[in-house]
Amino acid sequence: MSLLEVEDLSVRFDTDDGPVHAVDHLSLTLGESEVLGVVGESGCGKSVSFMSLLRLLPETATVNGTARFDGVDLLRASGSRLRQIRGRQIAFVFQEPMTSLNPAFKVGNQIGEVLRRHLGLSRADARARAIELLHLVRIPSPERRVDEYPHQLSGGMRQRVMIAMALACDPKILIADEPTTALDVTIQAGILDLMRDIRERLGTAIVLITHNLGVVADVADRVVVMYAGRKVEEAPVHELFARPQHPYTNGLLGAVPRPGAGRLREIPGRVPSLAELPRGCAFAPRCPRADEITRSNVPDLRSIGPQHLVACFHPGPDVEAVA
Amino acid sequence: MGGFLLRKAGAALIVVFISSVVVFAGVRALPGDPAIALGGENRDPAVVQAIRHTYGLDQPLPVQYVKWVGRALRGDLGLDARQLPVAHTIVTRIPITLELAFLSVLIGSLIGLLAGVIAAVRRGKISDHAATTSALVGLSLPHFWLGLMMIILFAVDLHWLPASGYVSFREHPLANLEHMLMPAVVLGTGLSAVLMRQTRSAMLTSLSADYVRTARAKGLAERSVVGKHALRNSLITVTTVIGLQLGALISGAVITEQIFVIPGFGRLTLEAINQRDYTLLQGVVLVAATGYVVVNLLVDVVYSLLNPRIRVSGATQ
Ligand SMILES: Nc1ncnc2c1ncn2[C@@H]1O[C@H](COP(=O)(O)OP(=O)(O)OP(=O)(O)O)[C@@H](O)[C@H]1O
Ligand SMILES: [Mg+2]
Repeated sequence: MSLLEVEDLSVRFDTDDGPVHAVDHLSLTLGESEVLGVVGESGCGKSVSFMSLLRLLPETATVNGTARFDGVDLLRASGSRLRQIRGRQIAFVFQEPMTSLNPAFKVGNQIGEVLRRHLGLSRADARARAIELLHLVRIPSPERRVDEYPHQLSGGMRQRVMIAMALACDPKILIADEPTTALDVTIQAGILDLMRDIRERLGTAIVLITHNLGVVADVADRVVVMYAGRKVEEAPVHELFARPQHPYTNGLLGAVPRPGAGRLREIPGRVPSLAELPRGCAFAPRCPRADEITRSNVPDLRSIGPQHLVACFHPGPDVEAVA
Repeated sequence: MGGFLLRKAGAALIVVFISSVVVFAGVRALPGDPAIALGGENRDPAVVQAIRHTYGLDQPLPVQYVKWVGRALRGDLGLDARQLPVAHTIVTRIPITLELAFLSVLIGSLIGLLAGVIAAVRRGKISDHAATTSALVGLSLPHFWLGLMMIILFAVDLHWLPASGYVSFREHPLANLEHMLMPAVVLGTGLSAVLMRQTRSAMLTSLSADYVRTARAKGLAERSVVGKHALRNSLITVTTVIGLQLGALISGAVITEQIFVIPGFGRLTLEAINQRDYTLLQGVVLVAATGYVVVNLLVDVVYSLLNPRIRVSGATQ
């Protein structure tokens, strides 16, 4: 039994320039204590997919599909049921550490708030627990930091505060959206270390959203690769690195520094605008394997090995990448 | 925080000094000779000369200024045309205007904030349009017209409230409030209209901020998402607006007190002008200017309390 089952999730934004299909029939599952990596270039719908699960998108978004968690469909649950789940069962670490904390309140207050809301802690207890949490995310001198305002903290520390806040109620699922972008390399490693630690010690299932396959290689159990709002490949992490099937995955792997992989390569071309996707496979304009079929038909996801799915007419590892 | 306040207070002192010079020079630049005005019917040159001497008007202007300021610092603003101490007259009138101002800021802020928050939360809905339109109407209505209409409706037609006059709070608290209600509403209209618009736009900004999304993701009720997280950040902008509007309140009080026959500071100002009472006018304007500066200083204090960024950077500097 999976902890979270997302089926046929679609998100459409109604903008002045017409509808934008940010997520297109996305299905995925997350097991107990599993770390799922979600990878893709900027704008492919990673953040939108997971924010839509907790119904955190603006009103211009229309969300379809189902998202089963703990016997409820998150997309249809009542507002009060949803608020019991948000922050308590499923917690979010947002991509923007600089702006996601409220500038007007001390960080201790902001962490304590979620404890008081869900666990009914007193102010004093919440503060004491907030200090413990800051300690857990390895913020130095937490007794002092707890009474500071967000602007007194560096980006990396704010990101840790966000993580502390998300972990406060010991959630079943932690969704970490690019927790390492905008941080320098040593801090990145620290945060990833922290993620592994959290999973091991608390058994938290983690969704790790990133555009960097190198990050998932270390931490994730399974990986979902997204392109233009769709899932194009999914596999256990070792399988994906050993036998990447989709040319997009191959392209992403080519951009990861790995021993023996030769020169780093960028994927040519750019992510297409979601408002004007090509008729066939969305990746076709950038794909070295594109032909008539791929340009006029959208490939379905199909199984290509144990737990390995790919949406491509011409799957297989790049010859170059294997060599 | 201490350093920040000290800097602000220093700046305020300089402003008070400059305004004292402007007030002094301004009153002197008015047409007419104060000595003749003080003499009233008596135009005898000897008498006028004597008046000039008693009031020190025959001395060079800088000397007059230094003497005036020196006495003012000791709380002595001289004698008015009726030979009454100006400082005393002002002190008896100020509480009345302060009460009026306090009530109108209270009423205006409550209405303005509430309407602004509702309009932002219900953006594009009927309540938003209603609030936005009322604010526009409220801004365009002149005080005297609004005051007269209210008197006609609530005093003359409905007999709910007294049309004009003043009863002191100590004598009769309820009657005092009855007399003050209409003037306070009239004086507060502008504030509530401006505040509604500013609150609305500040709230729209903060409601779409990332930290509001964080608050929702924590499972907080919409009440605390809006009332705590979004509102607190909007208040930073909004206090500045209240502060700026207090200046408009002082001039609004002059007209409002006139319509409702309230013997406050505003009416005293008009009396001083009408009676060409230079000493009185000089004192009144100096006190008004100082009051304005003090109010702005208080606004800065409140602002720094609400905005941790200012407070902390002030403390470390
Ligand atoms: N409020 C919105 N209105 C319209 N379009 C939106 C809105 N939010 C997101 N989008 C669009 O949805 C698409 C997916 O955005 P999303 O933020 O999920 O990308 P992402 O994969 O998280 O990228 P990144 O790596 O940059 O975070 C983007 O093309 C974006 O332009
Ligand atoms: Mg994103």
